[in-house]
Amino acid sequence: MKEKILIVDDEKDFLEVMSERMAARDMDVSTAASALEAIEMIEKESYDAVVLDLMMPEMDGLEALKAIKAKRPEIQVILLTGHATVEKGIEAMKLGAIDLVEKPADMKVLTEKIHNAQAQKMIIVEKKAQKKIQKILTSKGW
Amino acid sequence: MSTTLDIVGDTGLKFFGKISASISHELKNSLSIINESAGLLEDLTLMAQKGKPLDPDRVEKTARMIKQQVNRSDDILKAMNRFSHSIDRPSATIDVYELFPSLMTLTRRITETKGIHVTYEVGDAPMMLTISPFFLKTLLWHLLDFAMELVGDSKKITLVAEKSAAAIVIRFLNLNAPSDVTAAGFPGSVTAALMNMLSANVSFETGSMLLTLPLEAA
Repeated sequence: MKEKILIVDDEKDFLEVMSERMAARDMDVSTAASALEAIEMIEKESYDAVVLDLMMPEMDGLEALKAIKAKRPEIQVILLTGHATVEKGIEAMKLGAIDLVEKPADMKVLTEKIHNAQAQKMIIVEKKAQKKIQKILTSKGW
Repeated sequence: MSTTLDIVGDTGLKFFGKISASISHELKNSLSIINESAGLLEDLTLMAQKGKPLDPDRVEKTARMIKQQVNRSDDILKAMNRFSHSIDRPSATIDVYELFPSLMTLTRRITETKGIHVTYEVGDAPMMLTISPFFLKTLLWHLLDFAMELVGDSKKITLVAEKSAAAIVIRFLNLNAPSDVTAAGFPGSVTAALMNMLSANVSFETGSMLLTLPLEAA
């Protein structure tokens, strides 16, 4: 199954090349040039993973991460940063990111993390579905 | 050291740190694009080896993108180099018009993170001024930082300079100047110390903030 991903970065050239490379790896790729645009897209569509730049105009990556998780908790977020620090990493994980990758990113590593993110999302969605079924079964008394 | 010098020295160091961080982010972004572009060329080569025809336009576009990013990084590093050497001498004769693009390059990541676009206008002839280039840049940054709080709906600030017989005036345009600048926290001890050090004065007019640098005292 194709991973459905959203890449968010204010560097348009980066978005263009990255999306082309990921599409060549059989991913269904969408892009957003700002956090606000990404949040609008997330309201309309669901994604397996969001690859999110940490430092962007108007709304930074951590704020965007909070907003994404509030709207779609099942979406897996991988943060991209120019300078990864332990402090930033911990903060990102606390807010629900599954990983923090330093720029320039290794495509092989990033692809692997996206595969893992999709698998993680599948587990969350399946658990959610199981809970829903359990609730129906209990409430109907079958 | 006197209190003023303490403030100025501490401010200069903090400014240096802020600019270094901004520049390293810009360089990382540029390197990321170069890295992905090189990766794309590898992808295209692999696909060509497997029989997919190579698109010369795509290759050319990618090469162009790499060159653009190399130029961008080069501009950043040149500005960084000039900035680092600006501390070497307490006073130097500089062209104010050369200062503008350099300051923009150094602070772009910070201003754009705030969603503000900073531009400048330059004249045909150089506008020379003898001053401490490092502390002038530090003062300009502090004023730009304050100007960003006053920016209008256009989210754009334009810098222009004018020279008279006695002074050079640098205007920050497109601002909503506050009716009471003191209440808005201006100038603050840091900006005041820098202004004092450079014998500079800051005033406000409708839509703009003016930095006056006297030619003699400066």
